[in-house]
Amino acid sequence: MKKTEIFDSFISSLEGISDDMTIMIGGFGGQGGQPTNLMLALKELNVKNITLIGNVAGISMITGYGWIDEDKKNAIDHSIFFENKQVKKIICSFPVPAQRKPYSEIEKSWKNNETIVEIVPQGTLAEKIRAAGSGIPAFYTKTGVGTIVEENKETKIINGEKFILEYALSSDVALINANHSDEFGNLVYVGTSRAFNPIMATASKLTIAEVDKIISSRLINSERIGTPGIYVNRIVSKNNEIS
Amino acid sequence: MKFPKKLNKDNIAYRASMELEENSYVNLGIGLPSLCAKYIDKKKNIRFQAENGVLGFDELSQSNLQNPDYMDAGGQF
Repeated sequence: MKKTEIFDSFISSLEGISDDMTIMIGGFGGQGGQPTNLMLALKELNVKNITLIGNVAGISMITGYGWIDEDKKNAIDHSIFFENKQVKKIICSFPVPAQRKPYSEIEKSWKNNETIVEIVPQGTLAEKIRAAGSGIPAFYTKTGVGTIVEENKETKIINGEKFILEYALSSDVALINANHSDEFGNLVYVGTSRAFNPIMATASKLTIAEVDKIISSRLINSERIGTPGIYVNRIVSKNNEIS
Repeated sequence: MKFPKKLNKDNIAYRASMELEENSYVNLGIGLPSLCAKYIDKKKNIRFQAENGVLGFDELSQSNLQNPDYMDAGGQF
């Protein structure tokens, strides 16, 4: 097992990411829990034909969703990759805002046939990712039975009820966010910013975590660790308190 | 609260909050449901959970008290 590497530059922490890769982006949607600096670096890296996996995707920049009032006008979301024509496909649960106009960048790309958009019910999306990280190849769920979600999927009657077979979802890279880490890559999350980050860390070949600061393992509260460092290949922070 | 002729979002949330039973745990999803927390009768001892996992949230914070690490399903704080 290779030691977790520590970076102080977001762009250099993305080394090895190339065209056609599948990339998960953590957080519920909005600024808390979103690896915003890694996303900006991924845009700068300009890899093409990528498949993105995220939850609420690409609505903050037009609605301010999930950004506090003070930061709303500087909101960043998945739209930056669509503006930059980097995305072949996105798998997410909430890519379009409730209002009809203006269109989000994801909706525009989809309407122009530039991107495939696959919408997965939120709980199913989370479980598909968790399953991949736990070595479970597929699972049955009731969500989506009798709807468009069921189309072209295997179903099974269990105890008289119908279920859909959903497959695990893994990726080449996960870009995640945590509040802080230690030098071993043990991650501590705060509040709702935890959403999707721990499961993505387990479901990817390469996990890169953006943290507000890196502190010594002697100071980290071991009972608060949300993702053990063994799942984290790289940590990157502007604020490294150990040298 | 007085009911005007045409319902607005707050009236709907207020009316919906009356349906909630005492001592229950209630999951509020994105959109109008989040507003119900504002109108609930505190004596009913209802605990709200946001769809994204927070248990025990209440009405929205003032702008200067917003914390990006504590968000509801509607992307508000």
